[in-house]
Amino acid sequence: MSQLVLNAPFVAVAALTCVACYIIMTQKNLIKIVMGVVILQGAVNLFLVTLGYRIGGVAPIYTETSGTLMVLPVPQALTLTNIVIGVSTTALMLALIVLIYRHTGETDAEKSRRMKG
Amino acid sequence: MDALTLHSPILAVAIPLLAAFATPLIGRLSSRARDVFVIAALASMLFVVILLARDVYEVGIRIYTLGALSPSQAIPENHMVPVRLVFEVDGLGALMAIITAVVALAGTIYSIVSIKPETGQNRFYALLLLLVVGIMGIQLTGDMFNLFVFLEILSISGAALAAFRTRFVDAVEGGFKYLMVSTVGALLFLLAIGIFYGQYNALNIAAIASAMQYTVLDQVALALILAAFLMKSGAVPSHWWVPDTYTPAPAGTSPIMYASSLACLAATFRMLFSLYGVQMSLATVGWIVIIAGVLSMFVGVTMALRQTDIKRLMVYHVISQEGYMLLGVGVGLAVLSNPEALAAYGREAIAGGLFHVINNAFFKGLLLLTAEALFFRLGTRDLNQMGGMGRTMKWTCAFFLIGALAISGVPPFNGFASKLMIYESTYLFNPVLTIIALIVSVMTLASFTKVFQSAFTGPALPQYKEVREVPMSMKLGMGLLAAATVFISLFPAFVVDTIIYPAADALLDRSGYISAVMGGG
Amino acid sequence: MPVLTFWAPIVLIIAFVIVLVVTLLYRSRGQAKFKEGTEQGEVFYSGENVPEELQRHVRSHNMYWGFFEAMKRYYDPTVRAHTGIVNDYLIWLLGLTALAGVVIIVADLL
Repeated sequence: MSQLVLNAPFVAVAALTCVACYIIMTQKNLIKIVMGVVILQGAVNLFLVTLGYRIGGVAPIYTETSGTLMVLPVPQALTLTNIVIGVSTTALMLALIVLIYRHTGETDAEKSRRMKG
Repeated sequence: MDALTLHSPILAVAIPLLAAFATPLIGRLSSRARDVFVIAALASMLFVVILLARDVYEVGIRIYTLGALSPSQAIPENHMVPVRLVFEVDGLGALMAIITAVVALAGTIYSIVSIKPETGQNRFYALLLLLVVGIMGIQLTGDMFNLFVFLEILSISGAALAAFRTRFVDAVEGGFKYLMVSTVGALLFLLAIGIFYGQYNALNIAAIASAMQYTVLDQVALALILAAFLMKSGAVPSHWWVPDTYTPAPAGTSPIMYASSLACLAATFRMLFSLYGVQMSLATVGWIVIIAGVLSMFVGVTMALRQTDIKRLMVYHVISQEGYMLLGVGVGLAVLSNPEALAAYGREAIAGGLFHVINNAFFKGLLLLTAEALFFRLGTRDLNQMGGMGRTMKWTCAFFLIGALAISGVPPFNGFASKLMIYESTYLFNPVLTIIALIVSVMTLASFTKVFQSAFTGPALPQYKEVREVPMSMKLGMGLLAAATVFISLFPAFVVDTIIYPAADALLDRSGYISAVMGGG
Repeated sequence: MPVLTFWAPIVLIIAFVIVLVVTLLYRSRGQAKFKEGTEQGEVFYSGENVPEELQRHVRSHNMYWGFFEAMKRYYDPTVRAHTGIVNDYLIWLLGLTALAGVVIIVADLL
């Protein structure tokens, strides 16, 4: 039972990755593609944070703990950094979509293909 | 001076980073002061990089631990692995840092005039400097997650720069595509970092390399890293974004964007040689790299041949030339565990590939700048509309000829020297590869003959009667890269011995890379 | 620093200068039969009428036409593959990742 619970986050990571890949491969609406990328970011963040989980570990916010081990907060730091980076890339993507919409009146990937060949 | 040398790895990243955020402030005072400030910042970065490179060539691998009592103390007391951020500079890092610094300076000098017609110049320079930060960081860092962060800095600033001329819809579209593929690629890379952290509890490249087991999870991570970085460096079959993004990017940024592709290529080599090295099945990965290289060469050049947009044509050569580098280094990778073959041709193949990197950064950057010079004066990139420009734009024509002859591998230019090294060494490995490379070289010359014939020769067209030569700063930017090309052409042996072979040896010396951080060895 | 290692551009430049000097010397001696201002100085266009100056320029879309025609079977699918749709780029990227993973893992098992 506990094995199942511990592995549940990894199953969720796999499921989210599959959903995200499906979205970015099939959806033609630019905003939906951005949503797919955000879901992929969520999957990776969940993966990182799950790696940092230690059974019985204590958050490293005390100077001293009695007997128990403190968790090295590296994955949490990575996740926070990635969230910040994710927000900025998403903002830039949406800004570019707004510009594309102003130029063409479309948010369809099949319509914004001026450059090909 | 000693203190400057000691802190040079971090200064090479910190100078453009601080300058990037100071630029908009100074720009509010006067645009002239801002231009001088940006150039001064990049020139001082070049100076610091040269100090760093000299130190690396004399003393060996340099590490710089952020936040430690002394920069050389990578592993804290009572710890087994490095937990702090470590910059690690070896021959490859020094080579790429020199390339970046020179190209960034040339591109920025060129931009001063060419960006004048646009609005938001303060932000343009801030983004440009951030792009330089990203490129520099990728080459100097010794930490996986730090590499990811710099990769994202590079992606965001690169996409914003590519879409900078928002009045062109194709620029916005190119920027969007670039941001999309780079974000997904970077997330794949982050997944690989997570896999490494889960297995080895380390983020430092040297620490992971020293513990590397090549388990199935490591193989998955290798596939993720390979795909992400080959895509970022624009190798076929994930090269699609390269022509779409580079073509509408504003003038002076093109060579710097190209340097960012080369930086990702160098990061690929770093991952393959220093992180995995002899641990992985070399024949398989070596052949993957070689096949990607051959495909890039062939698809790039054949697509370039049929383009009528001058810049898109040159950008397809970016892909094609990257194929040569992948081919050379891939051959070296395939024979890494075979000392005899490595001594006979492997080392020279790697050196040839890396020599092609520095040559391309200069003459390919020069060619992209000449294409933009034509666009700046004529207002069109369509080759069908051009003709007779050699009569009025003599300097641009001369710079174009230097670049075109060099990239086509016409002796005595440097393109020939590096291609010769690749031909000689790949011939001993597999002659078929050499024959393909030669055919591609011929087609490269054919496509540049097409550009020269249709843009620069012929009668003076009446619609371009008023066209004059480009302004001084653009000539200076192109001249800097042309001078670098000619210098390497005249002294190839000197350049190869001083900076190329140290870089190749740095790639081959995996244990040296590990022991610089982990100690012992 | 040895001058002649794996490749010496200096030799080529010297050879080029020598050829250039010889050519210029030969050219400076001139052609005895040439008279300035006669039809000898006119453009020769295989006996056809010489077109207007602006018509003489060969535009880029005319170049290598035969090559593209002969390579049609290669070019048609290659050009069509570059659709310009961002989804396709992402499919190629993810596909490349999957392919690389399969190849690397299978090669290690064998």
